[in-house]
Amino acid sequence: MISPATNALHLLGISHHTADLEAREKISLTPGHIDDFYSGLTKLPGLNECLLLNTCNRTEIYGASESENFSPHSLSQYFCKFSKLEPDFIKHHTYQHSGEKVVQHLFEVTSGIDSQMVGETEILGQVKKAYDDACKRKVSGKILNRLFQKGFQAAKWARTNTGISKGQVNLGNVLCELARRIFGDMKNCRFLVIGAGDVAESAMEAFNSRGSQPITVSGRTFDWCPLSRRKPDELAKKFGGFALAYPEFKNSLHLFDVILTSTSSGRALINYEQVQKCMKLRPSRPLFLIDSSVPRNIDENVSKLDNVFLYNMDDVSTIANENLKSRMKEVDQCRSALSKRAIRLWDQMKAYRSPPVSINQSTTPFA
Amino acid sequence: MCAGWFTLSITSADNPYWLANDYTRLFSDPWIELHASIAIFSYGIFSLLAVVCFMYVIQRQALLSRKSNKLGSFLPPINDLEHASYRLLSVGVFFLTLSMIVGGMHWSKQPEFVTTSKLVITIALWLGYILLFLLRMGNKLFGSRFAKSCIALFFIAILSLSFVNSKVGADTNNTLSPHPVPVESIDD
Repeated sequence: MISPATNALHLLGISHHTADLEAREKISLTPGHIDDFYSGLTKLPGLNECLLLNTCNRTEIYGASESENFSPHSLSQYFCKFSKLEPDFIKHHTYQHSGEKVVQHLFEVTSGIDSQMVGETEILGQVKKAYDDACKRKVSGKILNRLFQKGFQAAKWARTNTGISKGQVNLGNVLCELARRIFGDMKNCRFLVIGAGDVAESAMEAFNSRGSQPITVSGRTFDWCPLSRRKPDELAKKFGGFALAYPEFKNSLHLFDVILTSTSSGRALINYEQVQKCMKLRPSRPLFLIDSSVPRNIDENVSKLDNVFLYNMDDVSTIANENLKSRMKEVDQCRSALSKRAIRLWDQMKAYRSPPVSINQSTTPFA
Repeated sequence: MCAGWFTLSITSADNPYWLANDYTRLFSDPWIELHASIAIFSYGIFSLLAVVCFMYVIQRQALLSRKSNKLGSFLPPINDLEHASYRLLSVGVFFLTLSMIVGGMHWSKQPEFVTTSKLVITIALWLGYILLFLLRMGNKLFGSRFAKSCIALFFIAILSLSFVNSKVGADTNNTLSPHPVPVESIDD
């Protein structure tokens, strides 16, 4: 039975809200330490169930206790001991919730409104993975099972019924959305990347995942790229594409639909005349140019040509931020709705002596 | 297309209506009927072309504004709109040409039916669409200029409809209709 004193659920966590990257790096657990962490956590007196959620932006420990002997502070004490950090440091950077607030917090985490990039969906997969891991270790029991199953349902509801996931906020995805508005199906898109910066890689990942044609990569020197010190041919190989010798790309512009530059050359690699010549060879087919370099690599005048669409990083960031703003407008509404669901669940958890059977009820908690 | 065939099959199945003695024809001559129906069909295609070109212009403006645009994300891709407009123009020009041929055959027999203004305007429009088609085919006119030209030509065509009435009350004795009704306000 869950104690009506609302002390059955506990949470200790650190996230981007309470700690900067440096602090999170100190607290974050490496995969090699997870086994040891769980083995110590399960031995805490009075703690019946536990679950560790460890991602790049948050480390959270969920615990359930049916015993009045359990003290929530033992979680932070254990964390200090395990991570060998000062108690003040932990106290300063962590948050601790009990009871209904844990339910509400989990709902906000799974739905993505507590994420750094509001509405992102990756967190739901990470929570599911953490839950599966806890089930395999048999440290999650009837209370946490019910809590997390309801958390997944809440996430699905929030994404379906509110606008927290609308619009693209990842730069690679924003570029893909723009390319879709120009060319439609990605399968017909030929993509050339000049340079090998982070934006290039993000865009390649996004285009590749949408089934674009094999991506071609070129660098100012074929062997290495000054921006990232990474070989363009390695990048091409990573995404199953081709490497193109740098002197060749200027004569091959007309063969590509999307061209992204990401170098630190400091001068225009693609000028007006080259694009004009290219468009004469493909007059009716649009050309999508993305200049992610600072200083810019593509002459801005090329956007005056018909059927040429030039975007620089400021433009792409502006779109991503506008999408993010529209998501932020939905956050309050979503939070309010999730809060009502959390209260309802918590009332049910308190009311029922025997919570409904969940799929993992057979997994025995360690108490 | 299927809907069109379905509608035609339903209406043609009503034999008593078509074969009735008091059946009143819309036009005085079957050649005019054919000419008018093909012309109306081609105008329907040109109106679709204008809509597609309008969507192209909106999508292009949305892309050039470099901002998040809800309307733009709901419209078809600009490349697809370009292809669709070319195909619509090709089909529209084909049917308008066919309509002109059929109309020309009737005009050669009964020139008194057609006013000079109608003749001039319809030939000018036909030449306009032919020119547009040839320029597009030769990749001399494409993109936004092509889209704007199609929209402009369509508006000219709509505005000119009031000038393309046939002569009312022309000699109807030569027609094949048992009950001639010389009403041809939209035959081009």
